[in-house]
Amino acid sequence: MYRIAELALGAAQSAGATYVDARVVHKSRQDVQVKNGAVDVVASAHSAGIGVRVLCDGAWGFAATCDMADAAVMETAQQAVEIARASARTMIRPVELSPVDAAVDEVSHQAALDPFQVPIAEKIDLLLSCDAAMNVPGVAVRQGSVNCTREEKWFASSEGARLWQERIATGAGIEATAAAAGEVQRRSYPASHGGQKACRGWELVEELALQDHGKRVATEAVALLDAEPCPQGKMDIILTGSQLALQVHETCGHPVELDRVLGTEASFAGRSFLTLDKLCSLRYGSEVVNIVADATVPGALGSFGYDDEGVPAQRVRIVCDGVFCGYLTSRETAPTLGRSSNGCMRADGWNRSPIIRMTNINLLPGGGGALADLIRGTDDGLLMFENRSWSIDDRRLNFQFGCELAYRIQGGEIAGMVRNPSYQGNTPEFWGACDAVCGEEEWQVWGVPNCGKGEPMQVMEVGHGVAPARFRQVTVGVAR
Amino acid sequence: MEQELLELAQTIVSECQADQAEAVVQDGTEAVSRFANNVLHQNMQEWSRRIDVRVLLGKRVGCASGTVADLDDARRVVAKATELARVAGEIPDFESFAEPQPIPEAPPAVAEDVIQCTPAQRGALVEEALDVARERSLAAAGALSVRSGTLTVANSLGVAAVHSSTATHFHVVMQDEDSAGYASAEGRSLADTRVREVAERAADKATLGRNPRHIKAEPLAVVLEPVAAAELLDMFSFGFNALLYQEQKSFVCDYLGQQACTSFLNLTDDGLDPRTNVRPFDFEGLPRRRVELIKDGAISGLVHNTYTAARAKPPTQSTGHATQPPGRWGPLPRNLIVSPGEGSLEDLIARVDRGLFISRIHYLNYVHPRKTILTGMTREGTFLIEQGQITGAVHNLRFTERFVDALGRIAAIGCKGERHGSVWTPPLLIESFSFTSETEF
Repeated sequence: MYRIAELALGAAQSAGATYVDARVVHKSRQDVQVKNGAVDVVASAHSAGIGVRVLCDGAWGFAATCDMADAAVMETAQQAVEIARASARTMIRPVELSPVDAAVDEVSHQAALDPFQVPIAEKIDLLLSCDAAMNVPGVAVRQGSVNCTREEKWFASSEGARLWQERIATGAGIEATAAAAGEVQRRSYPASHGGQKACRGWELVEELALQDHGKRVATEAVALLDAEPCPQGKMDIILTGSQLALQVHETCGHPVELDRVLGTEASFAGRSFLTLDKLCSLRYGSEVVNIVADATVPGALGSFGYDDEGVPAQRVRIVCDGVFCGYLTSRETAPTLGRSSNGCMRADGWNRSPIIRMTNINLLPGGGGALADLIRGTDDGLLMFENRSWSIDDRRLNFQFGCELAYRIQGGEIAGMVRNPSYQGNTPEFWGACDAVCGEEEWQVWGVPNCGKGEPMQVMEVGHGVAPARFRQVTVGVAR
Repeated sequence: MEQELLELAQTIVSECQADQAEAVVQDGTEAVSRFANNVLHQNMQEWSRRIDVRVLLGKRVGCASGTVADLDDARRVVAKATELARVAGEIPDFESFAEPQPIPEAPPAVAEDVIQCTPAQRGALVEEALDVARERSLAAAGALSVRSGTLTVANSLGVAAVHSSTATHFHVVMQDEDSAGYASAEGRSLADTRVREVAERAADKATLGRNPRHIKAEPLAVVLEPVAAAELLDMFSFGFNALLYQEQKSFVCDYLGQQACTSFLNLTDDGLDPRTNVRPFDFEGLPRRRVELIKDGAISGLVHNTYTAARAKPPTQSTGHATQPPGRWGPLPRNLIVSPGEGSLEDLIARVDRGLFISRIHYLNYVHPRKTILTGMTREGTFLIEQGQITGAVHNLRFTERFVDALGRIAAIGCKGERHGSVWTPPLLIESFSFTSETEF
């Protein structure tokens, strides 16, 4: 595949490009889904092609094709140059890239158990056993799914980089939906919106033990139909697992993308309240809040060897003892800060130009002990599980989340189930109200496989390591 | 090209040894020129050809898709789908792929200026918007998108449908120190993007938006510009999906046949209406039938694909709203039209004693789909209306609203509509809309 990529480099350089990178990408996916006791979907998808990114006359151009015949590849490279020349008409100053060592490397993400080698029948049997466990009176829809992806990528740049990377990821989840008299309630395991996903093999699915949670999930969904509605007002909340991961995603991961800050996503995804003047000065959260961007966590969904500019994966500080101290950057944007890229440029396949994306944005474990300790230390609050809805403004300040289930905490003890729990807040105030993050023993990385950004839309797989955390006096119950 | 794609689909379907086979070919070019800070900063073009194949063996269905450059690539996709069908479990209530039906003649859907559009032409159009920004000392951000493509569907029962179309979209945010204004336009030709006019509208909003005031979040009357109305209606329309209805997840379960909305609200889905992105058939190759979803304020219809139609009680016919295979989310309306009312946008504003004019909505999401509770933010052009006139800009607000109830509080529908995404709608005046929190910008 390097031959095809190098063909593109040569064609673009001959047409006048001063910098070129070419990515040949082969991506495969398999989905198995079971619903209400029967197979719903057995599907596979394969996508292959080449994307060519060039700088010419100081401006960017990108072109892509799924036809990898020599003539088509060369024509595509020439198109990229023509596009760059059109971009240059509006140029104010030429693009400058921060330096990077031109790496030559191979990075293989070995899954312990290749998920593509697990027979479809075994996957169906597993999901049908979960489905049977969820077959509880009152449940209208039982659903379970497993999916796996394999991506092979050959990256070549005119600076001499030659990188081959393989990435395998596996995901799985179950959910039960109960319905009665105008009310619908859903419970999921291990996370909502499709479950957990990681850069691991079938061993992840085995560890999740989906079938052991089927009955609980279904019983909780039915119980929620008659549970007390979420109280309204201000109270302490404890966020767990995948809900806290999404909180980090929306209120920290997106606002630290430097392209947003510099305005290049202003018309679509939005901007960021973390403007350049706030770097190393804004109190983003309380002193227990420490956040890193870490693309090197083994097995995490946002991990990789090199980004799509050939910059090696890194671990960088984002929030240190509550103070905002770092952005996610690219070769073009990092010089704005007088720094080099920290390796966050990624593209959703061969047909998209890379943009700044989250890696694994991790809330580091704190000194809060175990989840049981947080509950004991809460006089009046809500313990919330699994996301149901999310929304945040285009500067990433005003947010509102809904969860599948909450338990009321009174006097340090669980006091009853709450339906339609929701909370709302303002990002720095909310993180400023964080008074405890659980310790290492509760810390886990959650995969978010559907992060959307860019035009045309790009969907990226990212990760968030979190341990349960408590937030004091948060507004709850707006959307019940 | 259309004949070549149809032959490709029919060839692989006819070669397949399964009980039934279906092929969907999507071939097209997309180009997007993105600009920000008055500079083109991302500029791309892509060509792709993708085939989705479904194969039926008994009651087992295998689905495979792939990018293809030639017939051999396409044959590999068929082989994969067949391999999966052999090991897939049975879908007890799956009957058959679609039987062929006549496809009605569609209005013209291809604009030659899109087919011929070069990167330099796109750049020149974007420069028109940048000129407006520079003249007004504003910073522009946005995108110009042009697409041309062909959708082909064939199956072993005789379905053979092919349709080519073009689409264009231009949107821009004009930004000042403490304000921003949004405007957009779309259609099938470059002329439909009306770049300079759209840029001027966005710039006017940015200028009018200076020195925004803070107002308390509370129920207020709203005038929704077509963009904002379309975003809400698009999200709301998911509830007309027959699969969600059959699974008891849709609000239609609680409202079918009931007078839930204002009596003069009519919402239809019509794939042949030239005000929308014309789609004469769906991803099963069946004609998209006109469906009245809300008739004179009553919730009156659902959209079906072959699968949901067969499961309906009593069974019914597909309305031609199947989505891309494997179609796990069920059928969706994608050509929505709100029947126009009377009066201009200014007339709607004149009817408001105190309320908000909303240009655009951000991060809309369901809080509770069955109850149609939606939350989202206003964005880039939120103005206070007092005694029938816009009196200035306000900081953005969050709303949390049971949308089916809001449709019951429509006081007026404008006479002039616009297409935005899957929806053609005039502006709407809603007597009361629940705003629940505030921002400082």
